[in-house]
Formats: sequence, C-alpha cells, structure tokens
Amino acid sequence: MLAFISPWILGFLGFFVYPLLLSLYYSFTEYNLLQPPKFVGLTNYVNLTEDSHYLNAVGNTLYFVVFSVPLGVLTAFIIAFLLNQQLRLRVLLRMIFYIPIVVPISATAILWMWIFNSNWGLLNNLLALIGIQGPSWLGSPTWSKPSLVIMQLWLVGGSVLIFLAALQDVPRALYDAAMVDGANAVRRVWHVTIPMVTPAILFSLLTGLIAAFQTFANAWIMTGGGPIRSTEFYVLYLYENGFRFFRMGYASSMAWILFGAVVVVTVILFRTSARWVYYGGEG
Amino acid sequence: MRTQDQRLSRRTFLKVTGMGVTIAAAAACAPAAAPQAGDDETASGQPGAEQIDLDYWYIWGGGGGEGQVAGCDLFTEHNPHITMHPLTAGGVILDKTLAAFAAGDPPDLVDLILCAPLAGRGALIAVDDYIESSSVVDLENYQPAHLEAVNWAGERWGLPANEGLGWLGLARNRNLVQEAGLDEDALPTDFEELHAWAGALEEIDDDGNVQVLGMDIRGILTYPDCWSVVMGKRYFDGETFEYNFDSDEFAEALQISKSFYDRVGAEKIAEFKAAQEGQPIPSPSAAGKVGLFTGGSWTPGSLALNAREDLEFGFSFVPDGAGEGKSPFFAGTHTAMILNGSENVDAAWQFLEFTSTDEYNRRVYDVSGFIMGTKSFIESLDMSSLYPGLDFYTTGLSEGTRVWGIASDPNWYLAWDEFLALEEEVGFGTTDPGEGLQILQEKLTTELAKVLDA
Repeated sequence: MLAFISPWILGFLGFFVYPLLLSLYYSFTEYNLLQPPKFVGLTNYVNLTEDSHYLNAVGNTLYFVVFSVPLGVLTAFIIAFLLNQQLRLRVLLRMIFYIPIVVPISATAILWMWIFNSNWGLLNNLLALIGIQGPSWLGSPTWSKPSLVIMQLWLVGGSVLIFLAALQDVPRALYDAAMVDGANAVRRVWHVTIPMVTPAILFSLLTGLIAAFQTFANAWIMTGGGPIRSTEFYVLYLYENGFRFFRMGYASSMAWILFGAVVVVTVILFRTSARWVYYGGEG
Repeated sequence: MRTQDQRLSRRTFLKVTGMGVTIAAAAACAPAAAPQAGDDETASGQPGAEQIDLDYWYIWGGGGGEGQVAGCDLFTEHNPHITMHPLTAGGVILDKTLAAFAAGDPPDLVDLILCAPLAGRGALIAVDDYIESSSVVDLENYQPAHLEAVNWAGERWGLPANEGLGWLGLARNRNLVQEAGLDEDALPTDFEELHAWAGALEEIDDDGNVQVLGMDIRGILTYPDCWSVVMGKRYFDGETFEYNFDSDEFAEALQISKSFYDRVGAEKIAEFKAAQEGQPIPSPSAAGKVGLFTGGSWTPGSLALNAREDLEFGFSFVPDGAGEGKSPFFAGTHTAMILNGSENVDAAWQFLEFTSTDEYNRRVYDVSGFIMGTKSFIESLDMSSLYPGLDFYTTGLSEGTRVWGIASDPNWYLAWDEFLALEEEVGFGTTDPGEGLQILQEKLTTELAKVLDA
C-alpha cells in the first residue's frame, strides 16, 4: 500500500514539507534570495513589532476579515435561501450567481474599478439617481476598505452553492412539524433552517476566514495598497518584502505569524462549533 | 481458465512499473545523443561550434515583446550556434528572477531598469573587462546619463538596452492651453507659475468632480530620481553610499507635491490615479481632460496612438525646483545584464555586445517602436517626423542643463515604493514631510548597511 501512495508522499515531502520547514528556517535569517541566508535569531520577529507598516497591514487585514467574512456568509445564505424557493428561471439565476467565481480576478478587479469610479462609475451614478452624492470609493482612505469588502460580496457564488446544497438537504418533515406547531415563516427559518445548515455556515466561515486573511489580488490590482496604505493587506506587504525589497527572511517571519494566527482562529472556531453546529443524525 | 502463472500479481505489477519509471528517468537524465557528423555544420554554420542556449528575460509583452524576439532572432542569424530563448516575464520580472536565482536556475540575461539591486547582492557578472576588450561596444556612443544605471561600486554590470531616451518632460494639452488663453511662448519655469497654469486650466463642477485636471502631478512622482533631478539633489550618492532623503531639497519636493494634491483634493488625485490603472500617462479617455502632466519618451507615442486625433500636445522641461534656472532632464533607460550563474557568460556577453549595435536597435525599433538612446541610433532616425513632440526627449539629452540618470541604488525598489507612499501620505496630510523623510532615510540606511556588509 505504501508503494502506491509513495509518489504522493514524495511530492508532499518535497514540495510541501521541505519548503515549509525551509521558510521556518528563513524566518530566523536575513535572506535576500541572492546570497546565502544569515542566521539572526528572533530579530525579524522583534523588528515586526516595531514596523508601523506591518502593524498597519495587520489592522487592515483584521478589518477586512471582520467585515467581509460575516457579510459574505450572510449574503450567500440569503441568496441561496431565495434561490431555493420555487422561482421561475431558478436554474439560470443559480448560474448567474456562480459566474463571478469563474471570471479571472484581474477582470473582476478592472470591472469594479469602473463601477467604483467616482466621476463616471455605475455605483455613484445609481446613488445620484436617489439624490446621494457617492464618495470617492477607491480614492478615499475611509472608503477604500469598505469598497473592497463590497466587491468581495460579488464572489460569494461558491458559498451560495454550498448553502443551496445544505438547504435542499433539510428534511421537509421538519418544516411540516414546525407548521403544525404553529411556527410562522420567520420562526421556521430561525428554528429549522438555520440550525440545519450550521455545518455549511461553519464551512463557509472557516474557508472565508482563511481566504480573507490571505487577501491579495484585489488590492494588488485595484489600489496597489493605497491610498496611504489603507488597503495594504498582510499578504500584500509580505509579498513586497519578499520579492521586491529583498527581505525574504522578514517575509518568512510574517508568513509564520499569519499561519499561527489562522491556526488559532481555526482552533477557536472548531472548539466553539460544538455549541452551535448541528450535524444531522447526532443524538 | 486463468492460472496462477497468468495472473498479474501486485508484486509483479510494481516491479514492472518501477522498472519502467527507472528507465524513463534514466533516459530523461542521460546526456543528449552525440551529434552525428555534419550536424554541427548544419545547425550552426560553424563546423565544430558548440550549440549554446541562452535564456533572456524582459518585462514587455505584446509589440514590445515581439521586438525583443526579433532582436534575438537577428542575433541568432549572426551567431547560428547560439539559440536565444526570449521570455516575457511581465511586471513581476524582478520577483521571477529572484525566485529563479534562489532555485539555482536563473536566466542567462535579464533586462531590468538598473543593475545596482542585483549587483549589490552578488547576482551579476561585472562586464568592465569585456567592455575593454570589445571592438563593438563604444561607451562614447551611449548617453553618459544612461550609463549611470549600469554602475555599482565603481564597476559596470551591464549595458543600457531598450527604451533609452528621456524619462521626464512636461506635457501640455495644447487645445486646453489655447482655450485658456495661456501663452505657449512663456511656459512655466518654476512651480509657482506651474500652479498658475494649473489654476487657469482647471475645471471643477458644482459637485466637486474634476472635469479638467489642471496638473496631474503623478508622473513626476513616479521615481525619486525625478525629484532628484528637479530639485538638484541626488537622493542617493553612489560614490559615498549615502542617502539624502533627510535634506531640505526633498522636504521641499514633498511640499511641492502636496501643493498639487491640495489643488483639487488628495482623494481626487488618488481616485484619478486608481482610474488610470497604474499608468502615469492619462488614459485615452482622460487624455483630453488633463491640462498638464509629466511623462517620458513613451508619452508622445502613446498619446498619438490612443488619444483623440484632434488633440495636440506640446512638450517642455519640467520647472527647476532648485531655483537655479536650469532645465532638468531625467534620462532613464533599461539595462541588460548577465546573471551570476549563467553557464555561458561569453555567449551572453556576445548578445549584450550585439544590443549596442545600430543593426540590433533598428530591428527592435522596426518591430516594437522602442527607441534606444545610443547617439548613432538617434542620429539615424528623424525624430521630428515620428511623433509630434518626440524630438523633445532626444534634444533634451543635450539641451537639458541638468541631465541625470538612474541612481545606482541597491535599494532602488524600496526607495521608489516608500517614497511614492510617503508622497501620498504627505498629500493626504497624514504624515509630516520631515518626519517621514527621516524614517525613510533611516530605513534605507539600515538596508544599505546589510548590502555593504554582505
């Protein structure tokens, strides 16, 4: 049996474990990718605590995680819930909501740059119709992060599919029983639908959190981290340090801190999930 | 009926598979088959010459990339035993080069803006000896300012190649200028006059939207080298290895930059920047809505290709921020260099040498429109007939009274990025110029110490 899985094991060791351990080592070195790494102990980690740009990137990323993940899960659930109703053109609508997922992120980013343009963009023109003068979405440090959060909602198609599958798995009998007990539509959603889709909520939250911590492409293409570093997210700053500023050791230490943070958040989420996630078939 | 002998056991299957994989691996690792008699002559035209492959990476795709491929093909026509493998590495060329170097498989040649970041970290081959013994390369034929980009620590690490004219001029939309009644015979000579022009050209509607931007300051902000030449103070001294960001000149540069942010509001400038998708030249749609802007020798060509046909543009020197009445001109270029680790350094030098010839530059120009700044090649083109205004970027090299090249700064990318961010922070009023410059100075000095220590 070992022989059969040995190609995978070799690949896993060579292309995953080895680079992983190497990056851990690099995090304790000064390494510019061109010369041999020089061991500097914990210097990189200590320097991070004094790097205002790093702390700014941490703050930006936390903002993005805190707002984009719950909003994304909520939006995906609502869309899936609506798509689960007996609507005409339901199949077409499901496909439409999934299309953004298959559009390259660069194309999506350019599209949203047009939408957000304060002078002639779609969003501000729509707001103008109801008498609101829209802000300078990508040009304002106040609005740049919310803009990227809003844009992220465009990409909830994957979660919508998962919620849709979960919703279709909710036994009809539970709704019938709730109706017999006199539960109205809101109560049925609150007491039947939501508990039954909590595994999907956990999954969406978890994958959303991991993706949000690593957000990169939108900011890289749309704002370059600006204005005034307001969208300079963690991985963007990590990438710049590693591949533009010749500080791969420093970037590696950033990567390991991010890894630690994601692990902690994941563990917390799993630990608390026993209290709010209901798996069908449990006693 | 199947017998025990006929059945393929798991052990036998694994043996056969393992043997097959081993044979395939051995075949892949084996040296290429010995050439047959006559192969050499057929392939290279030079009996007995060893066939050499060279990897050459550059940034450009599209027409620019096609020009590089054409130049490589021409080189191979002259040197049939050398096969070039040109590759568009795109905007992330530095990242790719670093990763390839770290992986132990760098390209033989790479075209970047300057040599110092790689040379300072031991990644390049010095070419002084090659230049000295070359009968092809004539340093006198290069613009002195362009040669600054190949220096590091008193040695040369490459040759200027591709897109080498001027990288800083003040462009004006002549239609808007004439509509505003401004006198084109009395162009702005200092930043106060530039503000007056910007004010006369500006048009902002009642909602605060910029209909016409008087002066788009972004071009001049692109590189700290631009401010160096405008303010008459080099941000990095490649001889003493010192940064000068903590100087009055750079504090004043930031104030000047802020004054243009303040004209229409920092958010509008940032929005405008975002809408241009990172390009310092106004996009085709915005070209008719910007009165004044700064850009390099690519600007007239881009405008001629993209802007509305009825628009006319004029080009002149950016005002002298030092108040010395000089004509500042930033002469940037791209630079081809040989990476340490190339297994064919002599052949790579042959290519580098070839890039200095008019024949190579003509081929690249014919395909891509790229204009190399060697004196003989510039003389071979009628600049005034190519694009209206392009000749300014040629004559600027000789008529400019302060003509500087790219700083030979090993931390150029960091300096560029951080200074650009600082300009924006000052523009938004979130950072004090003096404090920001001091932090930048310290950061770069720390990074420089690492380079010098290594």
